[in-house]
Formats: sequence, structure tokens, C-alpha cells
Amino acid sequence: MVELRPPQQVMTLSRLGSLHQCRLSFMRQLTRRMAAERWSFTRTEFNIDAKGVGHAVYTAQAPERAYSLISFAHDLPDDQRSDRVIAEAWDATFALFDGIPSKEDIARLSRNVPLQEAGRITERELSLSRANRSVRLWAHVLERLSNGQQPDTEEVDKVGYLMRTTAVYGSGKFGAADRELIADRIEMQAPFQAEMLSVYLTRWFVRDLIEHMAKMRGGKSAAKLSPVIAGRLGIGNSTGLGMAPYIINHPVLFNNWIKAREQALAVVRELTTANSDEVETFQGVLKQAEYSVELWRSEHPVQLAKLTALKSDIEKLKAFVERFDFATQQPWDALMRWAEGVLGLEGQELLASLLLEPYGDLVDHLGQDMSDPEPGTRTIDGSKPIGQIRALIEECFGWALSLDWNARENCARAWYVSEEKLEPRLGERFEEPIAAYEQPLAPARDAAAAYAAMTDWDADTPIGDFLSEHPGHRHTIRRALISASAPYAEIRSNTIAADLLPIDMLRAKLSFFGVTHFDPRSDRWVRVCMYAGAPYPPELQPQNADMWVYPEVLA
Amino acid sequence: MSYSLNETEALAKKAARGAGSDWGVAEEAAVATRWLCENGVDGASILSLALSKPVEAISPLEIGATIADHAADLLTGSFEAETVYAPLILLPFAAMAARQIKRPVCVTADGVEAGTDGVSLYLDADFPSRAERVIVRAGEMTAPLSCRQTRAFPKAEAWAALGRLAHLTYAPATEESRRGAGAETSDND
Repeated sequence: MVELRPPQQVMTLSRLGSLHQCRLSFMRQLTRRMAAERWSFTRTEFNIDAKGVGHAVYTAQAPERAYSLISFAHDLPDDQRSDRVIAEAWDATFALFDGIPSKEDIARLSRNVPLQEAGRITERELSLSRANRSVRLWAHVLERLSNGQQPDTEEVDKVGYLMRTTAVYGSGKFGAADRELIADRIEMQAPFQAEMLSVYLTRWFVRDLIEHMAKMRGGKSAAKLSPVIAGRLGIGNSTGLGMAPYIINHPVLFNNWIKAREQALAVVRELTTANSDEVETFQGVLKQAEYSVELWRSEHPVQLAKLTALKSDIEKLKAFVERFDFATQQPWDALMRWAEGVLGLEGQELLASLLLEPYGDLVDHLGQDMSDPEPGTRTIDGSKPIGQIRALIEECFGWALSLDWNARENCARAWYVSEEKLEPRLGERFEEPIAAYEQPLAPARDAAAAYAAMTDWDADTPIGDFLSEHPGHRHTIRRALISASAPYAEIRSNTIAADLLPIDMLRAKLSFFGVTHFDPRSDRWVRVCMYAGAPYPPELQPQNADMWVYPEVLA
Repeated sequence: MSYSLNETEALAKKAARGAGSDWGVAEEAAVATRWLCENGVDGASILSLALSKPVEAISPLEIGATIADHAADLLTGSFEAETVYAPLILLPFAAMAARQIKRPVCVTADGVEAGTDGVSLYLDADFPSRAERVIVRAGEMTAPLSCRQTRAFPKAEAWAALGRLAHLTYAPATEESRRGAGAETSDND
């Protein structure tokens, strides 16, 4: 029996920061389902003027119900364009409506959605989002199309998208429907399906918008985007620090994501043999993944080093696969074991994701178990003996118990929320007056403190007695109890260290969305691409619904 | 105006923290507030009342946590407390206890009774906003139960009061801190 990889190996930030999308990613789960269930897609309204101001409505009809993206397009001066939470205006704003909106709904949303955080939406809305243009690529594509020409492929590949979302709020934010209201719908069972659908429809709207603007400018001679170029364009996403705490604040959910991928990997490694079709599928996606990595652009030194390492890993992997005997017993396990000894983390995790590709029939069902069936704060079982809590803390945070948590380098950072539009920030504890506002986002440090406070307590004493005296450790005890049934719930690295890279946390989360081409803009801010290569809604078919994430290799 | 349960819960957590609760207690204050709203009670008002107790009085949230943490004790005896502010906030904790011991739990405040089977709430209209004596015990539920609500309808002043407490958890913005979140390059590219 091939064991699941242990949390000590999987849950370090350096590895989590090297994860890649896979078959279980939320975008791919959505496109597979929509195609299999033959969803239909309609543009029901497109009311946008020559300046690009107005609104449009796109409806996705699922077997039992409809979802509609209501898009508001704006004319945004350059000096107001910011991807940060502190922005107050955007190139476009969106809401995903539960059903088909009436005129009154659209009127109501037109007064609120463009304001984003400063507006209010209702339980009829499932998400609220906004997007900014890539100024450079937008101008280039508009210029070319309005002159009847196609954009330059190299320019397209340099950026990868015409607009990038800068926040997609779901689950009750700003008045929207709580996730609990839709969680029992089969198409919303996997995490973030409403948000992923909203972005999928946004990509369609953006293509329509640029073609509309080109026509307004160029008249009859304007061109439409060629299907090949439109297909390569994704929707960008600009993700900041605010997302990083999510994977700490939702330990069961994060456990379920990681566990599903680890189970899928173990299922494949367990296979005794691989047939020629499966080997061919693997070799094909390896080649396409290599090409995708070639298209991956970044200027950030950390990412450049990782890309160099990844490219070198891919070379080694290709060479090894070329002479690998796939008739070996448990060939995929042998390949993975080889990789663990030879490849870096980027290469190992790419391989782990690629190994799942030939085996949709065996692993895709695991995608259904990636939600948290009981979201929310878990009740503490106060009858559990202190000895058991100690053991749980040792299991997750044994490495942290001997760390000197007073040493500056081990607690240099503090997570806090700024009063400025409630932007989550990461500051320098010893240089800024922020410690009093610190958020509980250092589970390792807090676990070490709770563990120390338990030193003189008898192992058989119920933890409830300890908590009556030490309410300050309550959040830590809750996490310890959660870890008993969620082994991948805790990050096994220091989240307040001087050398912390928050982009590792962002990548861990975003890889499960299925994004590619991580491009850090700083150590705490990343741009990525979503749905690049995917068919647009009207062209979505079962045969193109899944593998779009791997680009066709162009000669 | 109606609020989603998630935003109610998020505000409640910040407000409890802003009022000085430990993080773990604040998490439970949030769950408790949401649970009350789900059961048709204005949880925001109850939490606001609980957080505005006099400094010298014991926090009803901590009483609640003690009840939930020692749920098994309710199988063999009762739990009593004196001078409890906003005793209704104890009901979500009684619900946590009820789920653990798999029996309904009743909370009697100055002789007026409320109860829960762990999911829903039975509440006498005269349930007080402050009680000299509260008794919590395992019991039976015979009274009609609340229906689940999917939205919160808080009183505006309670919501605003929680907002003021929540604000205490936000760090004042400084030039230095502004650099602590964004990209190092322009977004006009």
C-alpha cells in the first residue's frame, strides 16, 4: 500500500509555495461539470456605449437553475487604477446573480455593484467582483482590432489577459448569499464554484467588450479576435496579502484540499501497471506543461530562480522518462520516488499533478470531498485529556516547540488589519506600532506557548479545566483538536518569520483554484492567469472542457 | 436592512476581540451571535449587551464557554451563575453542550426558561436581559422551537455599536504600513 505523503513533508511553506494546478482544481471541476451537464450560455443584454460605459448580462443555464453575470463597464482614468483593496474605482465591476435578473434587479445592482465594498448586495447575489485592464495589452489589442488586424502573439503572451480581477468576493460578503444557502446544490458542492463561474463568464464579457470597442473605433473595418488568440487569453487575477490568511483561518477546508490531492496521488502511485494510453497521456501533458512553463513570465527574482529550477527539473524529468521502463512494477510510484531524490520542490509538485492526468476515472470523484461540510468554528470538546492535546501539538508543531520565539528573526512579522478600507497587512513587529493589533495567524508560535503553559498540568486533566484558567489559549486548543481528524490542516512553517514569503501562501491557495503562471509583484502580491486556453462558454464541449489548461504546443 | 450570517459572524468576532476578549472566546462570540440570528433572535443586540457589561462583572461569553467546555457535567448536575448580563447569549453555548451530551439543555434566568436541543431554540418572551441567578441543566424539550433564519436583521444601533468595537482591532494607517500590503510596481501596466 502506498501511504499518503506525511504532513511533515507536504505542509512546509516552501512546498506549498511550489504547488501546481491539477485535475482537482476548482476551475477544471467547473468546466468539466458544465460540459458534462450541457449547460447553455446566453448573452442576454449588451448595452455599452462607444466610450465603453454601460452594462451587459450573461446567463449560464444549468440543469436545474440559472446563474447570471451582470457586468458594469466604466471609463476609468489611469490615475485611479489600483489593484489594491484601497482602490475605489475600477474598469469593470460584476455581480453573479442567482437566477435571471429582472430590470429592477439590474437597476438595484447598478447603484451598488460599481461601488464594490461601499455598496450593498443581497442574498440573490452569489459574488461581487471587479477587474482592471492591462493598460498595455488593452491598448495594443484595441489598436490592432480597430485597424482590422490581429494583435501580435508575442504581446498577447507577454501579458496573457486583457483584464485582471482584483477581488472576487463570495459567501455573504457585503450582503451576498451565504455559501450555506447554495452548498447543497450539486453544481456548487466543490469549493468556490460560484466565484469560478463568475470569472469564467467575465472572460467572455471581456472578449465581447474589446471587440465592441474596436468596432466603435474602427467601424466596418474592425476585426474580431481570432479564435486562437482569444483562446490564449485568460483572465488575470491580482491577489494580495488578504488571501494569505484564508488557508490558516479555514484549517478543515485547507486540509480537505490537500488531502484530496494527496489521496489522488496515492491512488495513482498504487497502480501496479500503466498501459500505453496512460503513458502516452502522461508524456503528452509533460510536453505541454513544459511549453506552459516556457510561456510563464515573471520579473521577480524569487520566481525567476524558481522558474530556472523548474525548467532544469523538467529537463531531468524528460531525460529520465525517455529511458524509464514503464513496465516496472508500480511505475508511477517509482517515478515519484526518483523525483523526490533528484528534483526540487517545483519539479516534484509538477510531477505529482501531472501523474493524475491519465486517471480522471480514478481520481476526479475526490473533487467532491474538497469542501468543508460543517463550515464555521468547531466546538471544543472540553473533556479531552491534556495528554492528548499535548500529543496533537507535538505532531503538528514539534518543530516549533524548541524554537526561540523571542528571537527577532522568529517573530519579526505581525499580521494585522489596517483601518484603511480594512486592508490586511503584514508589518515589522519591531519597527511599527502594530503588535497590539496582531491577528492570530501564527499557529506555530501560539501552539508552543500553549504547550509551555500545560507543562505542569496532569495528562489526565480535561482540557476544559485548563481553558477555564487559560482562556488565552482557547483558539490554539481548538486548532489542536481539529488537527486530530485533519492531518493537513496546519502549515509546518513559521508564518511570522523574518524570511516569510507570503506569496507561498497565496500560491498554495491559488493553485487549487487552478491558476497558472504565478507572477509575484512583491513578496506579498501576485498576479496569475485564469482560464487561459479554455473554450469560451458557447464553445464548451465535453472534449475541450478539461485539458485546456495545457497549451497546444505551437511550432 | 438584512445582513448575511457570515458578515454578522465576522463583525461579531471583531467586536468581541475589540472589547478585549481572547481570540478563542471571540470566535465563540461570533458563532453564538450567528446561532441566535439563525434562530430568529437579534444576536447582534444580545452580543452588544453582553460586551457592554460592567467591568467588574464576569463575562457571559466566558460563562458560556465554561458551560460548553464542561458539557458532560450537565449529565450529573446543574451549573449555576449569579449576576449574568445578557443571559440569552448562554443559549448558543447551551446548544454546543446539548450537541455534545445529545440531550436538550435548559437555561433558567430568574425563573424564566429557555432551552435548546442543540439546533433550535425555545424562548420565553419574558427572558430577561440581566439575571440575578441563572441555572443551566440537561432537560427535555416540549415547547415549540424556532424556525431557521438565513439572514440577520440587527437593530441599527446594535450593529453600529459592534462596528465601533470592531474598529478597535484595526491599526491606524501610516505611510509605513501602506507599503506593507501592495505590489512594488504600478498597476497601470
